[in-house]
Amino acid sequence: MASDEELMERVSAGELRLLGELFERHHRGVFKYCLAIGGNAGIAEDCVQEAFRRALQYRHSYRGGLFRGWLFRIARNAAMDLLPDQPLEPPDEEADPAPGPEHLLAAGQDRQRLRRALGRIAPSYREVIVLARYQEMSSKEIARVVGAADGAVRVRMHRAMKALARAYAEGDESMETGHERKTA
Amino acid sequence: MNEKLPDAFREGLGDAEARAYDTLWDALDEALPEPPTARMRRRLRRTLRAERLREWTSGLSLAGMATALVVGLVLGRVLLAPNAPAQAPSVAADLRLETQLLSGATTAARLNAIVNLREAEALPSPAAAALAGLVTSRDSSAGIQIAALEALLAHARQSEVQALIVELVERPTTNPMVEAMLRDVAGRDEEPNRGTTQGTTT
Repeated sequence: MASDEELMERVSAGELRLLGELFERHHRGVFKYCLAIGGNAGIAEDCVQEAFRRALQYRHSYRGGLFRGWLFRIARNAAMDLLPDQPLEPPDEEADPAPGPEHLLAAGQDRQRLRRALGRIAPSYREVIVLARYQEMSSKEIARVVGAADGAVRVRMHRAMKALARAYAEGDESMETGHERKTA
Repeated sequence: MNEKLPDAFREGLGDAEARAYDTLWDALDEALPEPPTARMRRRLRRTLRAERLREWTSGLSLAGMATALVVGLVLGRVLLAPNAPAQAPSVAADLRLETQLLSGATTAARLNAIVNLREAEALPSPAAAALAGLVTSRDSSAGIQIAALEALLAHARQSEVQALIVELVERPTTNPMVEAMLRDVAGRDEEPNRGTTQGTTT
């Protein structure tokens, strides 16, 4: 089976139909990533289309390297264009401690609650969680996608997990987390 | 998929905190919904078609369009019109007949069918495939090859015709005029080895 990179090089050379194969491999991941940034399935769908359209339009700018990182950078730019008011910068450091493990034991049984908690944390936090969890990207890969230093990504991940744990523990009662807190 | 927080993100965490995050990490597995794949595939196909059309439109040089126009006029008016004026068939039966005539015994019959198909409002799939076959067939005369390609280009807005033209661009041809027209369509004037890239290592 051809690698992503081989397929993209052939797309660049004019075999446009091979973009369909890359779409099959990556549209789920890009969708979840866009959903994490945009928080809306309709926008995420548009974001995926826009990402692949741009990948096609700018295929000649692909110079090899890890295709996935290139594609997710495009998706990120597409999402920011679709959501110009959506901040992707991390919120200020929050002083509240994360809840203890006893508050999180039920997480595995209450995925709806977890999904809502994920939706309440800052988009920049969701972004790193989704890239690491669903794409299994390393901190270095994530750093290339989001345009930050490796160390900054690790710090952001710590804060993201803390914010997620707190949002989950607080349940649906509080909206005072992440992005909402910053923009209030 | 990792069920635990990756090591790179565990640095500095206490055991209890790490275990708590592992629980969350595992539960995240199904926290996000799946995308509407079928609808997104349809949208991507439209995107691909639009991009191909955009490229062809922008890649078609004035010289290429003039060449196609001259070829069409020559074939349509000088060679064919005195004997068999081109008409635009409006019913499927007519187009089926024209498609059959593409493999007709005489060059004049073939050219007449080609011009009629070129002028038709839409090109049926069998006719499009037959025309594409004529473009690269070694049994076709140079005039037939050019006329067949010109007929296909006249219907380039049809997606299946677009796909056929894309395939033609990738195929080798011995007809310099067809070569030039396809090069204009593809906008790849610099390409020296068309037709030799298929079957590259996957």
